[in-house]
Amino acid sequence: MSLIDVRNVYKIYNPGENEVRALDGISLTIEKGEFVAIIGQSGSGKSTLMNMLGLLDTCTSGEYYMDGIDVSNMTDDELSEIRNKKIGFIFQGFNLISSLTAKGNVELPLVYRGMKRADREKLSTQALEMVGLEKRMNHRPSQMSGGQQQRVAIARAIAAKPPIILADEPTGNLDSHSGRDVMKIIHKLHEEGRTIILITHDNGIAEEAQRVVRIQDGKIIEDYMNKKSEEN
Amino acid sequence: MSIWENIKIAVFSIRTNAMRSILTMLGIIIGVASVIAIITVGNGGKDFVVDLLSDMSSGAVSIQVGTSATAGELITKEDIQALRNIDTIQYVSPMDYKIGSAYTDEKTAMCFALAGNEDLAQVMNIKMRRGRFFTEEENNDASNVCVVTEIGALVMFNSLDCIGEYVNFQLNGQVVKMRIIGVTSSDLTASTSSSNSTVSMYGDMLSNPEFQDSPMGSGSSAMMAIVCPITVTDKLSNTNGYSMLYLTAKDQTQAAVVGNAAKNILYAKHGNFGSNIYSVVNMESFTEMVDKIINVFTTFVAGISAIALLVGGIGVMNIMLVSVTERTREIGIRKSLGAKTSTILFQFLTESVILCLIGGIIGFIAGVGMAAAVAAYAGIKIKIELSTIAIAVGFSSAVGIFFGIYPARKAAKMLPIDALRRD
Repeated sequence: MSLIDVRNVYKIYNPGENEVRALDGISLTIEKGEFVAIIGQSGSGKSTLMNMLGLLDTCTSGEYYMDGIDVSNMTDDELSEIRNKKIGFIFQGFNLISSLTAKGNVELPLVYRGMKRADREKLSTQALEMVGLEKRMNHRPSQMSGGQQQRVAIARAIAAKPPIILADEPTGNLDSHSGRDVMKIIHKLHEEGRTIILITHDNGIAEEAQRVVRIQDGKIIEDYMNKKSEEN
Repeated sequence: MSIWENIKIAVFSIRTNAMRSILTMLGIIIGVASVIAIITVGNGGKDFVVDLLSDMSSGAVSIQVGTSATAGELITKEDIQALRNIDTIQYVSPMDYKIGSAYTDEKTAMCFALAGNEDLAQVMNIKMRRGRFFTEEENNDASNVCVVTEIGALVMFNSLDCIGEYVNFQLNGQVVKMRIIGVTSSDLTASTSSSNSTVSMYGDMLSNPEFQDSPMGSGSSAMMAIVCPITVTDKLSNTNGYSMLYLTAKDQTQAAVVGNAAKNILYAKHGNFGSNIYSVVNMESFTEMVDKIINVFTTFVAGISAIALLVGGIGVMNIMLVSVTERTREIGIRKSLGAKTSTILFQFLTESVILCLIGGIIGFIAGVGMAAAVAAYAGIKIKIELSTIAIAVGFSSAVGIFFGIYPARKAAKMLPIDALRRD
């Protein structure tokens, strides 16, 4: 049983004459522990795919099984619960809540899980230590650099220990140095056994993944294992 | 997500936009303050009036004879005796008053003389400060005794220690020399204001030719009041009967019924049924009526000021909608991290309720302050009831929920992808 099993998925905007097929019959399976890069140009449908995989958006037709559970027809609240338990998001724009401290942001998914304060403190501190920001716990996003903010976002994604990390252009808004730091952390998460799905338009970054899935016009045009990782 | 977390988020968000929150609250503050001020002043005013009225009589009922009555229709001693024999009546006394002048060797003053039998003290709630009230024997014997008011004692004797002293009451050229047997703390002129207003009584006094002719009529404004047996005042004028009586019922709650029964007895004894010559004035029902009028008035004005609360509520709704729009992205983030529809709903609802509650509490304090200022000016005491606090808290939370539910639902229903896409 695959961790992610997507079968013949369509996402169609404006059905009718001017319809746009953002996802045009995509089938994809991702196994536990894989590091997959989904690559495509802007408008290729890669972001739609990422939103669909992350259960942030629903598809027009097709089936989606996560851990063998059919998630394609779930209610809004059921999807919230699955996202909370199974998926950690890393967004291009960090998406931190500006009014909360780094720690407050990292604790959010734990709060929504209904965890007690002491447990939250423990997990959020661990996560911030993992990204090397234990000294900035009480800083707000506005008091941190972009690289630091993205590391807070990573800490938030991993705090609840979800099996899947979904990263959408995680280095897109960062300078190359911070980008490297972030990629290092992502590799580390992979080594720890997490499944990483990384969306990017950058071939260089895609090369770092084990497997590359190339999207164009809503279709998968390539799906191959990286030579470098095969060598490993 | 616990309520406590929600409250923390809400307070934080309110503090972050402090200026905006204060301006929004202002609507609620003004609304609640005016409602509370009106209710508080209304309650205080009501207590004041009701106290005043109940001070005047101890649940007494008065029966008055109409001005068109013939001599045969006036209340006689026999009528009073007949009423005394009725089980349900506790005290009954005829009531009469004379306005003349009082003098001692040293002083003169205009004098209001209230007269009745020994039950008068009970039916008119005359409270003794010193000495005693006159007895049945004294009334029967037409003894020349009287009770003076505190003011009367001070006017005539410069002291409350005047028991045993004598005072002369002069009317129509006749003089009765009365021995003072007691001093009352009651204001006798106010006691009769249920039937004759105090103003008109003093008016009577001032327009009395006897009084104007008397040496102290001009230049002296000294006034006093006494209570004496009705048999004494009878000696001063030829009376066929009295135009008023007061009675109290054994069972206070039955005062109105007993009053009507007494009225029917009078008709029966005088054989003038259907003439409507006797009328019952029940202080209890009068008090109730005043109470009702003030209640209606307070509710009405409070209702009008509640419009301010409504406007304030619309302000809250408006600002919450702005807040939801501004925080669309935050809602998207929260949802992507696992917040459920209900969590977001409660988050925004908590915020609007807290906004309104803070406004309600400030409004309550401001309202009580306003009421205290008005009360100090009007000379009444304000009373803060628990129900008033409940109204302030209840109303403001209700406004928060009512006007917060729409924006909160709007936030909660957002799809995470739509919310995240918006910048």
